[in-house]
Parts: sequence; structure tokens; C-alpha cells
Amino acid sequence: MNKMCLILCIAHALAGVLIAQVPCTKVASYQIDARLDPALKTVSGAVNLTWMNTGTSATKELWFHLYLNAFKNTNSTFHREMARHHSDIKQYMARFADDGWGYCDIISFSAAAGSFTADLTPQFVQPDDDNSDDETVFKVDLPAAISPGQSVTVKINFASRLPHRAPRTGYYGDYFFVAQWFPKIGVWYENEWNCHQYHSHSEFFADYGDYDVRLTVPSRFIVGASGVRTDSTANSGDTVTYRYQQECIHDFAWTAYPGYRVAVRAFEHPELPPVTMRLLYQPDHKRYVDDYFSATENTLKYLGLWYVPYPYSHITIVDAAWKSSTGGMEYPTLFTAGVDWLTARGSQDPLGVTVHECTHQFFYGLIGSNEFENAWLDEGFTTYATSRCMNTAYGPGAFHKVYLSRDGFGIPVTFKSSEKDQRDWIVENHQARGARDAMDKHSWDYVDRLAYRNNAYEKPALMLWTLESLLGESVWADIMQAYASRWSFNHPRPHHFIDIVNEFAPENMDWFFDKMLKEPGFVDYAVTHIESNAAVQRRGYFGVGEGRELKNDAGKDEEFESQVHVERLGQIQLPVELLVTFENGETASELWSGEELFKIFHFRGAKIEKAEIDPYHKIWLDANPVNNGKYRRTNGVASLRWGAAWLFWLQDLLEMIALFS
Amino acid sequence: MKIRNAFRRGFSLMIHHRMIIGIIYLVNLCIALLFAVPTFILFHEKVGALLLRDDLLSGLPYSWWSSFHFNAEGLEKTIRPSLAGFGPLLDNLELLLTGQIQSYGWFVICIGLAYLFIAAFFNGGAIALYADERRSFSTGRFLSFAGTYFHHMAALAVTTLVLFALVFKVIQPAIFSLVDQVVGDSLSQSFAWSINLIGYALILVLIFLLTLILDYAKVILISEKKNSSWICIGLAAAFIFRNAHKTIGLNLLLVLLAAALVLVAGLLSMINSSQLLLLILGFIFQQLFIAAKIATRLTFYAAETALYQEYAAARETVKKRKR
Repeated sequence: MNKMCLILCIAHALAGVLIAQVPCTKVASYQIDARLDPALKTVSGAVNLTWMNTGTSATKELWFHLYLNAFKNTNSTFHREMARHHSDIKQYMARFADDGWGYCDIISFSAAAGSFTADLTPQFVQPDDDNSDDETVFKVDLPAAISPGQSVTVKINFASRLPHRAPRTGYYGDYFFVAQWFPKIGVWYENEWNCHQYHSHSEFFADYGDYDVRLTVPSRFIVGASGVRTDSTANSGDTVTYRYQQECIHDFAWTAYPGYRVAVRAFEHPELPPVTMRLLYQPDHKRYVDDYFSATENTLKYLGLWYVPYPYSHITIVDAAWKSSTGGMEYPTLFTAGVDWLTARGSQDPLGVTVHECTHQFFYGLIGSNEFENAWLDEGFTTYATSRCMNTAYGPGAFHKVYLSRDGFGIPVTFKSSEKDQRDWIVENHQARGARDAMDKHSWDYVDRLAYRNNAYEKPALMLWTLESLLGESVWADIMQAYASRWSFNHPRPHHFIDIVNEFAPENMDWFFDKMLKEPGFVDYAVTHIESNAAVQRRGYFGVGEGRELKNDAGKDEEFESQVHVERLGQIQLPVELLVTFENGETASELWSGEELFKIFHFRGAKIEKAEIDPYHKIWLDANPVNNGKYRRTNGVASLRWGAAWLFWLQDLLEMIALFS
Repeated sequence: MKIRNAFRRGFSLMIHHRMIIGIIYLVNLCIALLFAVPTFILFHEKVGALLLRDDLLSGLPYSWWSSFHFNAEGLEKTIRPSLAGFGPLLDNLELLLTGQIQSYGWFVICIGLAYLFIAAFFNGGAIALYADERRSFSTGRFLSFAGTYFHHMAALAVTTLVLFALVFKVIQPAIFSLVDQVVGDSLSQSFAWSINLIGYALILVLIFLLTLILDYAKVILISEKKNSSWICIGLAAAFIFRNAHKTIGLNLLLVLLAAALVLVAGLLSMINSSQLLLLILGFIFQQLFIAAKIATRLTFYAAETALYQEYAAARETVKKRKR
């Protein structure tokens, strides 16, 4: 094991060269020295930040996130929104009982630039709402403006208290996951401060830079963090200081827990740079070690080949503690996943969540979109790429049910007769979460949590699948590669992606994005009726003058006049294709603009066997693909098969009830 | 009487009066068909013309089911992927431990209640025949006995309902509240899993003991021709307490038999095929399983009756000797 670690450390050092080659503008670079006190649940420390104005205008203010304050009390914007949207807010709030609240205090703040050095007083601001109780954003007024290209050095002493089982951060027993824990500068973006409060529906937005972090913890703790561990020093008092360094990242998270088991493997691919994968897993999850590594390897491989190679030398996978509320979250070069102690074969746990969070290393880590204002640019792309990667690497999963399910318990059973493609899951959620709201909104402005989820995750993912089908794999590959390479280590807006689509697509696709981003609603087309009737046979004179002809079709092969009724059941209109198959094996296809609510297509010839709208399944956005196709005649064998299964279930149920008679 | 002998006696009684199995099976089938036919028609209307219907022969395509379930109402909600293979048996076993019958909707509760009283009616007839020394079967006698004891059996069924409502609404939450306290802030899910399993095992034991007491209450009511079902419950509890190893042992043996039956049925039902012949064979096998399940339940009653009668006869002999 030690030899392996040595080899991997050398690999880190070698791979570090790769990071330096990445063209990243270092806007916000941090040196942090922090100490964990597990008994008091506190992290205190000092931040030394160098921030550079990369905009085109000067600023006389600096804005910072102070997100641990979201868990300071019930009145933070985060908790007010949770109370509005959470189905069982009492149960949620119970986790903070017995002093489980968390916060971050600024002890001192000083700044120095070319012309000044000053101690400054932070002032809490609420740019998104009028909640004066919210302390998740603060600003300081500088004595002089920082001009474009100029840097300012900021020194902050802070003291954080971690919350108990808060979403994404905090402690649970002696398990610590420490995220959003230090004062983090906002983004000077489009010549104004983009520094939003912490919202219950939103994730994060920050600038790239270098991180050099020293973490002091009791030596019994196993630690994992963003970046590469470059040093460790044993201190007096049974503590150890670990040093982590990483260039070109926009956040830093870490975890400490004495119970972690550690596994390390190397990702290697002839066309991609090597990556050291370090897994911190729970003691009773040894059986999932291979799954965690396999999912991470496949993500690095496929996304690296499809879009852009993962540029860092290291990735840390954290198998989050059960009930800690920290699983399934991404941070630069580190992500958390999670899995139940027992899972069903075919459930694709923990593969799915691992691929998803690892995919965020690309759509969030590398392509640093604004998760507050354009949530779909990271969650939608990630959901899309996750399903693509899962389908390619693992194929469909299977339906599974957890019997006797309750908190911490359940007996999972797989039903292999019901396959579950990753896209099926997305379509299912898209349909279930409703058609309210348009995609292009600030994440906290959505009408409710379901609307946020659908517009940030499912609808954009299906939109991207639809685009891929409409434009073809080759054009799509060019688009995605261009987007990933041009916007790595940068902050794209939706129009930047649309511009790239229009650059490569054979036609301008603005019409498509206008419908998708600005209109609420579903896409749903259906074949609702098919009929074939004997055609009236032509007999008598047809035509005029010399062209007049006596016709008698009697005795010829019978012809049929057929109708196929199609309907637009959704609100969003997209052009679709209709494919009709006749009983003689011939086919006919029609293109429908999809604008009318209802349309009848007429055919003459043999009887129709079946008709299908969107036959090549290009419109992945169709919320109910089941109604896309129909046979003209019904057949009852499938109904009998499931009718018999239902009968057996009821008979057995009745006999079970008889036990109580 | 030894446990083995009671079981043998019960089994031979059940075989001797095998017509009862046929009658109960037919009633079970007819009641189930009463609801299965509309379900079939409903299902056929939804899928009979769908392009996906061919896939439905080999399984329940998830894309179809999620969409169908999203729009489903009433009976349609009960169509689910777990109807395949072992699923129906597992679903019903889960119900036995959770009592969450309302999750299937009101119609299942109504059919269940109706069947509970029909089963109570037949129980009276069956136990009376098993307890009768004439040992001859006629449908008339069976139905006559069933009618004679119905009010007692119905009263016991209502008592059973009340007791099980108590188990699922009061005792079960109390057990799991305790489980949650024991689990506390443990970071180990395997520990939590094990403690929860103990919780479910406790509920299972409770169900087993309650069923045992209520079974013997029926047997005592008919064998002793008692008039109060409440007194019979007390007598049954006392009888089980005095003969714990025999009564519990016998029922454990019968539970093992039932578990083996379910296991075999479950394993065979996992053979999934879209071929019509295999589908028909599968259906026949399912029906045989239901009949076997009824036979097992009747064997419980018959063996319990045999054991109790042996005990009662011994008690009488002792009394006579004392006189």
C-alpha cells in the first residue's frame, strides 16, 4: 500500500505539469490555514486572498459569500425558502435542535492594494431579497477603486461553527464534511458583482484561482480534500497538518472522519492524461469500491473523449456517511456520492450518482456556469451527459422495489422484466414534475421545487438529447467539443452555447431555443385514431372531351381509404414525422409542422397496420412517448398476460387476508 | 399427542375433506375474477392497440409503465412491475408485516373485508367437520356447520381486526420508535438495518402468536360448543400457555410448510417467458399454488383441532379417573 502511495505521489507530481498547461485566468487565489476542533464542531482560520479585477471597469467594493450563515437560524433566506418548499419542514429543522446551528464569523478583515492598506468592516447585504436577517453575503467598501488588471490582497480571520446534518455541509457524529466554510469572494461578472445569497434551490458560482490550504485536524482523522495533498506535518498535541494545493479551481471542500477506509487507483487511457482516484468509503461499503472506481473511470474516459480531457491529476471520491445529507454533491476535484448498505442488482447504485457527480467535474468544475442564474447549464448538461455515459458504459438498469422500506432499512428486489434506461428515468421525472415555468429563470424564482428540478435537470437534458437526434451525432460532437474547450475555466451564458450550436448546425436553431428556454410546458404528440375503409370503386365516365374515359374498377384489388388522426397534447410545438406502415409491408411518411392541435392524414392503398409519430425517437422531449404509436387493430395477448398476473396477485392477497379470519 | 402426529392427523383430515379446498378455491377465483375482468378490460383499452404491446408480453417496459402509472386512477394504480415473477407474493408478504392495505386503495380494502367474512363463514364449517367424529363429508353438512357457527366466527374476525389494528397502529409504531432511539446517530447503516430487522421480527412474532391464539379460539369454540368468543380467546391463550412447546411447535412446522410452498412458487414464477404455452402453464401453476395455499391454511385448522381434541380427551380421562 505504501509503495502504491509513493508511486501515486510521483504520478501526482508529474501530472501537476498538466495543470500548469491549462490556460486559466487566476482571478481569485487563496491561501487558507484552518483548524478543526471536532469537540466544538468549529473550524477557525485565516484566509489570504489575492483577487484580480479581470473586468473592463473598476470596482470600489468587494463582495463575499458567507454561506455557513444559511444555517445560523430559521430566518436565513435558505431556511425561509426551505420552509416554503419543504414538505416536512419540522422534520428538517429537528436536525438543528440541541444547538446544531452553524455560522461563520469574520473576526478581522483587511485589504491592501497599490495605494492603500486598510482594516475594513464587512456589511451584510441582500441582493436577491429584502430579508435583512440573511447574512450569507457581505461586502466591504474599499478606500480606492481596483482598476481592471489590478489586484488586491485580502486577509480575513474567520471562525466557523459547523451545522448538524445541514444540506451539503456540517457534521454527523464524528463525520465532518466541510463545504461553503470560508469567506469566498463573489464574481466580478459583466462589470458588476454577481454574488447571490444562499438559496434553497440553488448551487454556487465562483471564480477560478489557485488554492493552497493547510488543514490541522486531530491525527486520528482521515482527511480528503479538493486538490492534491502535497505535505503533512505531525504537530504536538496529537494533531496533524495536511497541505492541499490545486491550481485553477473555483471552490474548496474537505472532509474528515476517523472511520473512512481509503482506496487508491489510477485512471489510465492512451488518449487521456492519467488521473489518480482516491476513494474514501464507509466501513460497511467495501462491496461498492469497484463500482465507485468503475463509474469514475467511465466518466473520465467517456467525457474526456467526447468533450474535453479532465485536466487535473487527481480526483477524490467521498462515500458520504448515511443520513449526513452531504452525499451527491460536487466540488472541484472532489465529489460526494452515497449508497445504501443493501442495494438491488440492476438498480445502478451507486453507479448513477457517481457518474452524475463526476460529470459535474466537467459541467461545473471546468465549465463554470452561473448556477444561480442558469442552473440548466450545469445540471441539465450533467443530467444529459450522465445518461449518455451510463447508457454507453452500463446499458439499462432494471426496475427495483425496496420492501419494508423505512429509514435505514429495506429489502431491495430487482424486477428484471422491467428494464429502466437512464432516459426513461429522465422522461418519467419530466412528466411527473410538471410543465410549470420556463427554463431560463433564476433558480430561486421558480414556482416550486419541482419546477426548479424539472427546468434545471430533466427538461434541458431531454432538450440536449433532442438536439443531438435532430442534428446528428457528428455535428453534435463538434458542438459539444467546441463548447467544452472554448468555455473551460470560464463562465458561459446560455447564448454562448446557442451561438456554438448555430455555428455548427446546418440551420439557425434560435427558433428551437426560443421555444425551449422561454416557453413553459410539455412536448407531447400522439396518434389517437387509425381507420381503414374500403375505397369507393371508380365506375363511370371520368374526364371531359377526348380525355373522357369509361372506368370500371370492379373486380380489381380492393383499395382502402385510411385516416390517421394525430394530436398535439403538449403546449410546445415542434415539427415531427409520421410513419405509416400498411398491411402489405409498404410504408409512407409525412412531415407535420406540429402547430395544429389536431390533424388528419389521409392515405389510399392497402389497409394500415400501424402508425407512429416521431418513429425514430428524435423528440426526447416528448413527455409521453407511449402514445406515439398505435396499431389499427387491437390484440389482447399482452392484456391477458398482465390480467392473469393481476388475478393471481388478488387471489393471493385474499388468501392472505383469510389468515386473519 | 406428538407434534408430528398432530400434523399427520391434520393433513389426513384436510385430504379427507378435500372438497372444502375446491369450494374455497372456487369462491376465491370467482371473487378475484369479478375484479380481474374489469381490470383486464381497462388494461386492454389502454394497451391493446399500443405499439408497445409486443414488449409487454415479455415484461413491463419501464417507459410505458411510468407514463401509464402517472395517469392511472383507481384499479389501474395496482398495475405495477412487481406483478411479475415473485413480486405478488412479496407484495402481499410485505402487507402482512406492515398492514398498509390502504396503499392499494379503498376497493382492495372492501374486497378484503368481504373475503374476510366469507373466509370466516367457511372456517366454521371446516373446523366443525374436522372436529366431528362422523368423519363424513357432504356439502350440505359443511354449509350447515358454516351457517351454525358464522356469528361466532364473524365475532372472532371482528376481534381479530381490532387486535391487528392495535398491532399496526399502536404496537408497531412503538416498536419502531424504540428502534429509532436505539439506532440514534449511528453512522453505520448496517447497524441500523440489523436493529430494524429485529423490529420487524418482533412484529412477525406478535402476528404469529395472535394468529395462534385466534386459531385455537375458533377450535375451542366449536369443539367445546361455547357461546362466547371472548371466553374462547382466553381459553385458547391458557391452552397455548400450558402446551406451549406443542402448539407453537406444530404451528412453526406448518409455517415452515407454507414458507416452503411460497419459496417453490416464487422460484417457479421467476421463469419469465413471452411464449403463449409457457404463459398458460404459468397461469395453471399459479392456480395450483392458490389451491395449495388454501390447503395449507386448512391443514393448520385441522392439525390444531386434532391437537386440541387429543388434549380435551386426555383432560376428560383424568376427570373421570378423579371421580
